[in-house]
Amino acid sequence: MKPSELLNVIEAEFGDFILESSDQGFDPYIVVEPDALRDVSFFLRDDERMKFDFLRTSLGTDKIDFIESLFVLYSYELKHQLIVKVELSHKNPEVDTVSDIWKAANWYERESYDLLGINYKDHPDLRRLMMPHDWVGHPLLKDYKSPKKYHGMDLYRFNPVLKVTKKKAKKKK
Amino acid sequence: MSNITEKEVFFDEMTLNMGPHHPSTHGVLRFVLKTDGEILKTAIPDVGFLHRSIEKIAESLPYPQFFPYTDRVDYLAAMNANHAYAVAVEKLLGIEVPERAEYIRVLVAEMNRIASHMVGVGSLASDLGAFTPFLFNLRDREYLYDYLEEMCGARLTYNYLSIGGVHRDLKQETADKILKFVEQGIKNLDEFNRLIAYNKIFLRRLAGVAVVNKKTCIEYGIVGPNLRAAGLKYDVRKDQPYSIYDKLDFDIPVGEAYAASDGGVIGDAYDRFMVRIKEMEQSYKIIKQVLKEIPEGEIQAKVPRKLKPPVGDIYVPTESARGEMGYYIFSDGTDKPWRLKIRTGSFSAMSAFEEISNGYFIADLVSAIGSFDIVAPEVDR
Amino acid sequence: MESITNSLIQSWGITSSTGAQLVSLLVMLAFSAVVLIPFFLPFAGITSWLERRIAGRMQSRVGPNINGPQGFLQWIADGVKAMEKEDLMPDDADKPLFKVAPYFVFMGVGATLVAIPFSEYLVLSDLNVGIFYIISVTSFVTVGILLAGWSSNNKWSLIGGVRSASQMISYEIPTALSILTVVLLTGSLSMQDIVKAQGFWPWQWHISNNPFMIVMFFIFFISALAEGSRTPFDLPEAESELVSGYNTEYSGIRFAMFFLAEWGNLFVIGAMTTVLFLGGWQAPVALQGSIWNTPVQFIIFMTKMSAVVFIVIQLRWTLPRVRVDQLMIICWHYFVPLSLLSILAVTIWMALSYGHSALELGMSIFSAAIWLYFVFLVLFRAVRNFKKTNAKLNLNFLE
Repeated sequence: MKPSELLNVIEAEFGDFILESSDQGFDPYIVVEPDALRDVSFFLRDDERMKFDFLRTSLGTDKIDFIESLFVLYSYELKHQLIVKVELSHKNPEVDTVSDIWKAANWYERESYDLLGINYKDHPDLRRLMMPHDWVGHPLLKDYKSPKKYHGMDLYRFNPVLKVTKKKAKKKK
Repeated sequence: MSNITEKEVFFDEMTLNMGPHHPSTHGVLRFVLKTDGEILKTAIPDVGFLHRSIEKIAESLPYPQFFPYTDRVDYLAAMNANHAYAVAVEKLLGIEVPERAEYIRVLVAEMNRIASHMVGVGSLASDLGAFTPFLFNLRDREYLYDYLEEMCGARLTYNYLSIGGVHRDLKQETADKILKFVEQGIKNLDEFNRLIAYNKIFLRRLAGVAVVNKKTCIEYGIVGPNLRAAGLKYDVRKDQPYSIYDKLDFDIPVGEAYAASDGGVIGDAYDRFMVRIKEMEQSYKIIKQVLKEIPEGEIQAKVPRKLKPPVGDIYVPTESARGEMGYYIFSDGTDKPWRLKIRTGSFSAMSAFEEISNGYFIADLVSAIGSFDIVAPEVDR
Repeated sequence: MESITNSLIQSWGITSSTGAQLVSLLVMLAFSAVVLIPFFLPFAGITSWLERRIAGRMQSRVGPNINGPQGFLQWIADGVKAMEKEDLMPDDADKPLFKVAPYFVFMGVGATLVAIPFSEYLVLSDLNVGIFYIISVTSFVTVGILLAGWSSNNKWSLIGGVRSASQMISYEIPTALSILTVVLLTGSLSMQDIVKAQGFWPWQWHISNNPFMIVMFFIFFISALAEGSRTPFDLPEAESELVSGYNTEYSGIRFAMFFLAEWGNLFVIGAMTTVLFLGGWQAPVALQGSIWNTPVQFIIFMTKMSAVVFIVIQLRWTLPRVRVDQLMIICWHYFVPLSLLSILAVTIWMALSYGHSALELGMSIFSAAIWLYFVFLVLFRAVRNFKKTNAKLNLNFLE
């Protein structure tokens, strides 16, 4: 199905819940209201015209104004692609999980939780994936500052070059 | 895991730590195994030991400077990772790559795919106790690495591709050598097959082990040779062609229960092994074609000094040795990506382990890890 | 051995009983010093060198070639290195058991040498229950490995130890049954008698007594591989599965002892196969009966044994490992019934052919032809495969 037709079908089905949709960019995408994500997801997976059975990847982004969680879908049978985006507030980045709809989302959501702090409701096993389990903070947020030490281990190495350049800068002043 | 309850003791459940420095967890993987004697109940993967925050680093680097990091995502098929990133950035910027450069890219990518599969199938054999086939493959891989070194000066992490082309031209001398190797390489692959692939013990060890059917593969997003072994004929090179793959003639091998005589079914470990072997044959075929058809001309497109792509986001899938490798790039109009995400094949294969590892022997887990050809840095990035 | 001491006592003219005892004790000690320390240790060492060189050749690489001619002295360097290394011990290990386990393994292998006849006179002690003695003494290896696995306080080691115990106990049955057929043919448990019942020519060996002995030979050989935990049955120390099995926590000389025992075991497998099935030290009739023919007989014995060891090494570097359940299925579903059947067949054949020496000879030549055909087939296939690949052992096959 062509991208424009695809978006038309989805908008006809979930008119109010689709905040934005476009096929002008590189890939067609829709922005969904967070509350309607699960309904839309079920529709995308199960509908005869959609058949998005393959969740290619899922990620989160810190867009300063909001946090965006998105996933890229592909249909092996109908060979079309769609990106589904959800915009979440910084204060309470919470959205329903889709890990029971596409099992692949399980680890991607854990990763997004780990690196961006997005809270996926009803996720079966929402633990940190990459970082140590007692790590503080979510590194991929734009305002993230890494701690100086972790369990007494230095996280920054002494950089002799940096020291010399700083001294030179001081002397110039 | 630490507090063992009375119930667990009563049911003879043993918690075993496999890794992070276990010989058959290639790289640094860790599994927490719950076993009843030798029989697995679950194997819970614990990843993150090789997390080098490549995605965070990407946010602070201009587009061309990120190339060396892509090598480190998958050290066994670094050229494919290079290629994936180059294709993604070029599509974002709308750059046309000269045809000769495209041919060279495909050549090196396929050479690296063969090298990676050599390690993949070889280490599977060595995990099962047969060490000689592994070294046979390493011997052949040395030649491929020698030629790659002649082309770009490095053997493992190349940094060979640039945005809009490749860094150095392919010499005729090297091309001749590669062509000569391809002839011998096919023979050596046959030797490898006769040594291990048709070995009865090997067949019996892999047939019907760690079966992942088509449905599970699609659900978990398992890609690449592992998906094709489950019987789904899907290859990014054919279905969403990039570079010059649409001009080349090659087949996509799929799993057909190759070990059916020993109780194998479609999608078992032996199919994954065999699909890789057949894919190597196809890659040799591609290399031959590329070397025959390679045109003369430029190897580098005109690219502005400071790359400033338009605002937007893009996902470009490519076929790496371990399946679909895609770069999701958010661009905010500056010369650095706002956010970059690498989608790798090992990650999705690893996420499926908890489900597929049920009820097998510990020895089967080893062959399962080997047959999925998981490379730890690709999981953690 | 007794004959040597007796002849010495007579030639030196010693008459008193204490003097005779003293001389026999001295000779025994000298012999064990000669055989055990500078013979067994180097043999295990040389086997290790041999294994590494053959493996190197098979894998298109070089192998140890620096120390000594062709790297022949590599095993000494390795031994010295192992001795100098720190003897590490896990904190929570069962310390006495952990310390004593390698000795059990080493002793189990070393003690078998007592009963192995290297030539007509070169045998430490020709026990009248020699074969029994060897079977029982090798069980020490199981005990040692189980102890090592248990006392390391490491779950991987424990799995290795338990695997080893179950494997060795299972495979002891087909081994013993196949030895039993040889004992039936000979009518004696003594190793020397078993060798003496055979002859120099291939059709006089026990393997070609009748076709069922070929089956027994294969069962014995494969079971011996399993008992010595060599590939394809190296499950107790499966490197890629159990890290290193029972010897994971060992280091230094204790670790070296496990490996000496392993290579010694290789030697024992070869020696046992040679003695039981391949005619032992049997030389042509002209070269028997005198103590001066010992070198010839010894060389014949060593040649046969080396051939067996060579095959074992080749198998080690060719085959993958079987799984635990497959291992047990091979033993209990195939080997045990097959060996019981073979015993029955051998007994029936013995009863039928009793007194018909021409029939016996005919059958011997027939079965010798069968197994020689198999040997020829293997060689033929090897050569054909070699030609097919056009592979050269030379590393630069493109030039």
